[in-house]
Amino acid sequence: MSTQKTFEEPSYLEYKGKYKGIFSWILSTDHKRIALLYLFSLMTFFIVGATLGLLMKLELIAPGKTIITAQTYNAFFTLHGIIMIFAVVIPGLPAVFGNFLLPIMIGAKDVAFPRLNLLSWYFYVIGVSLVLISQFTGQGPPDTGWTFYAPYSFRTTGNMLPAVFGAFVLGFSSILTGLNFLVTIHRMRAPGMTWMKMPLFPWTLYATGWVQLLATPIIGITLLMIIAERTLHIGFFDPTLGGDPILYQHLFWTYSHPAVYIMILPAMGAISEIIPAFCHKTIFGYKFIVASSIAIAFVGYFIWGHHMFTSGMSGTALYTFSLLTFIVAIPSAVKVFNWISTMHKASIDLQTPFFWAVGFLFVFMIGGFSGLILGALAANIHLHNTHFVVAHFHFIVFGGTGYAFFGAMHYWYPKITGKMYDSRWANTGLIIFFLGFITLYGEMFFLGMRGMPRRYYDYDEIFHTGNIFSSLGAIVMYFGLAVIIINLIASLKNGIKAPSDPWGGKTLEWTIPSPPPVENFDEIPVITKGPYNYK
Amino acid sequence: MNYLKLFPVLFVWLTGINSFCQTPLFDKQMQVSFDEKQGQFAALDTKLINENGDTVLLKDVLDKPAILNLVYYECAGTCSPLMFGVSKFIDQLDLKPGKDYEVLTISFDPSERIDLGIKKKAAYISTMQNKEAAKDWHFFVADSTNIAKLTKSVGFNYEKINNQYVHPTGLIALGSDGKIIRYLRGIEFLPFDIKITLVEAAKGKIGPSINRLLAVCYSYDTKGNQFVFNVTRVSAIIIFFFVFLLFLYLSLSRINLKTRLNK
Repeated sequence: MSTQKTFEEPSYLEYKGKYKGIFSWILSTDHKRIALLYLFSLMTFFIVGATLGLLMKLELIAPGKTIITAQTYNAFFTLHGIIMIFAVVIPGLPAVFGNFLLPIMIGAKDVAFPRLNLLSWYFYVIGVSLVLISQFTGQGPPDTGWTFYAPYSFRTTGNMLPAVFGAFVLGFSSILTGLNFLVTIHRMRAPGMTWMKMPLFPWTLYATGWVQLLATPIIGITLLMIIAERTLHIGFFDPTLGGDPILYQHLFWTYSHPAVYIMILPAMGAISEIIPAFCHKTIFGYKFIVASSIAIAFVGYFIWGHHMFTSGMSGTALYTFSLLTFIVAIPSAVKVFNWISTMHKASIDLQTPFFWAVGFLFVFMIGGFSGLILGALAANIHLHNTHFVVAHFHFIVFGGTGYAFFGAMHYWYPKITGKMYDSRWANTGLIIFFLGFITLYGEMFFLGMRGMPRRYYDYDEIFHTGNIFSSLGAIVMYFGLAVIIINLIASLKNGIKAPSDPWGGKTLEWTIPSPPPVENFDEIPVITKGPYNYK
Repeated sequence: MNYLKLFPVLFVWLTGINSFCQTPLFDKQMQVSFDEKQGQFAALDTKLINENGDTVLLKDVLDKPAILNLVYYECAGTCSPLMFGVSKFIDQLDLKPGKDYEVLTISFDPSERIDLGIKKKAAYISTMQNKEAAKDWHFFVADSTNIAKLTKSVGFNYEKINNQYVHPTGLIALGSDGKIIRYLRGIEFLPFDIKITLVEAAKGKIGPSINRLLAVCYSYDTKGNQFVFNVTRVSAIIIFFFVFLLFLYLSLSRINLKTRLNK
């Protein structure tokens, strides 16, 4: 694209602004510093969530009570769900890598509304804090699961209000980030960067932005309705007050299903950046990938009912939701074909980010195909609320978004930190993590097929062997995660200095120094060619 | 004197008879109700006798959305409070009977004559404030064949017991084509509920345009028998409106890249 120039500005990490110490971070409106604020808070919550997950798996290593009581188990899976969904995977890639890279990749100096950007981080921290407070105050932690299903959510004596309000505040954070990105993409692209010359990661952030803006208010209003029901006794969902519990499920999934696309679309965007960079080849079918992102965002609105096949809906609704579920698989498959075709006949540079991308393809396809099994009405009756569902969404949410997150982390780490990590340890960590992942969640498919229900701290003896495998997998995976994270942290100190373009990438972020200067570009680049101009 | 002593005995005996009769009566009441037939049509070829003594067809008097009120004029039970409820909403509503909608009160007792209906009408009008508007409240009677045809078509199930009728109490809203729009149960009605029902029956064609908006925001709760604020529909419209506005703003307004470059 444009040639690299000498930069005299200090990098964003060295820049001395108005404030010092911690304040230079928590009061900074620089998109790169806000991205790192998100990264640190998000990783902290991720470790908390992962530890809760590990404790649950240890409880399930044998039937009966092993290490925690039934009530604690209920509280753990609720908190694990809320943290992992609302605080980790939904903000995940947009808040961290979107914030850091979106302005750079489209040739801008910052996002459109830098202060709003900082405000959304504060909303994020306040939201998660409220959820955490609910664990330690009132009459015991919430135990409804992350879905807050009515009428349980207003009958339980658990401390629901702070948790629900926390999720509401987190929704605001998500809306503000989405709005910020949309305006940035519309208004701040470098001269010459037409829509069809924009890299794919910003494209997915764009599609995600609309989903965030349209879908998140629904959950906000729904959570407010729960609060009104619990405090003012206005009947929305409680049958005794004249409400309808199924309405809650509809409203909840009208948001929460598109939320899956808020998680997965930016993940697909990151994979679309990594694959051409290591194949040193223009991405195959750029326009199809763009169109499929928009198609996923659009169709994703109309398939929420597949979470409720057993809740009681008309036959017509069941068939329609099932059909649409199958249809949404098409644009996802289009992307997979395009990624594979990009690799075809390429001289691939086998580096850690590429391994993560390949791992993503593998687990995402298992997750996707198992989703089709669940989308089929007859199979769903048998598999609903079993471990099969748990396995499916961990393959999609953790396997999809999680792998892409770590892939993106390893891909852009040199750019963000200005250091290279130790790729041997990174690859070792990945292999351990991958083996643990497959053992932990793969086994759950079989447990679910045989009828082991989800959300129980106890199970029948016939499921014991499978659970031993699964729990051992959890320990291995946790260990793999530790290796990966420790390696990244240690490389901050020990890593060698990163060049501006260690992987031979062609998008704009690789044309500026690592770490980037405060204002990203000395001079706004003028774009004349497409984003993946390799050959 | 001895006859006087018989009075308490007679009282107890009559009460006993009465309660004995009441038992099957309550069983009957289970079948006496509106068999709701929303979306179907009232029998438009029902022959009615109007206040002038002329025979008219139901379709001839139905040129606007209508509130159908099935009673019998000598009813000792709920008909009078129901008719009083009708007179109250006619008074309170800002829509005019005869102009915006029709109110049709039809006796389902074939033995009743229209003279009685005219007397009843005069009695109710005398209690009303808006006497002019009330003139367009129409009263009818009909013969047994036509009554059976009409009541069956609108799902109005009643029984004759001991010279009295046991019947459901409420109003039926009809479109100008005779389509059954809604059943409003009870004896008292909020003018607001009647208004929205009429707006719905007229497909938004009557009254100021704000009514159409109200019909979007409120929907009928069949269990609570009243219109309730439709929170999901209203929220969805607000969300879509603002997101669409943002989309239009972002797509239609252009920025000058050169000015931004020089900043």
